[in-house]
Amino acid sequence: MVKKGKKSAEGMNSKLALVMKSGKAVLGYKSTLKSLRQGKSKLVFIASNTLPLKKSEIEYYCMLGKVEVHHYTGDNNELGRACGKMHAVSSLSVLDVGDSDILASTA
Amino acid sequence: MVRFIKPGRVVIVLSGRNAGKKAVVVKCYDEGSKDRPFAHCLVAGVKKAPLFITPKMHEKKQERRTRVGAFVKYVNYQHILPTRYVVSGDIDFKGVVTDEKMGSVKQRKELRKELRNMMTKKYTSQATVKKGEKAGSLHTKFLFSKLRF
Repeated sequence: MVKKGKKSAEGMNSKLALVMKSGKAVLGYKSTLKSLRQGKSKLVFIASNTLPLKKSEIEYYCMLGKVEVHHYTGDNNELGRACGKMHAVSSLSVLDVGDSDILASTA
Repeated sequence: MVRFIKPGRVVIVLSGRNAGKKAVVVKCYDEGSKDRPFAHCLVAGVKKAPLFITPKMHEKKQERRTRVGAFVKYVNYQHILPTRYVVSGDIDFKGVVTDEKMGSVKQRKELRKELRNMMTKKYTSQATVKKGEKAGSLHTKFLFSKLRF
């Protein structure tokens, strides 16, 4: 649990890039909630500047679905960039991890 | 990772006439159905929460105020907010609320009445809950309390 602080943002970014390439993820608040409801989500990222109400809502769903939430150190623009997209991403749900070890490191 | 919209889950309805009302999931259609090709569930909800009563009140008045107004509805998953509360042991809901009964308007009306009686009974029987069941009663208490917003 304490490991989170030691991990750098760079590490997380590269892991996220690997997930994008080899695995499957959905971007966006609506899709994230949908994937959480369906039980398909493995890990959820929330950008730092997400609206507090939305943030709480996603966290609550994650709590119900026993899915881990990662509070991304960076705002939605950075999270979008980390995903390789030209747009901002406030919340992102990883469905299939692919080759990345992202789950193991955040667990 | 865990599917949490399951029968028994207390849920808050977000849109429509019953927005802001609490309900219990009776049946889930995760894959949708022929009429409703989207993920939805059948909920039985509390349309009108019971009001407080005092011993000074007339018995008839008390009875009126402890009435629970019920509703049944098919709701899209998008329009409900699941909570951490679960009303277990409500298999009676499943037996009472069926798709056939939801078929016609007249049957729905009777269904609502039946539900109303069931819910009122459940609400009033809370007072006689034993010490061991304390945890469960918290959840039913949540269901029958009005969500203030």
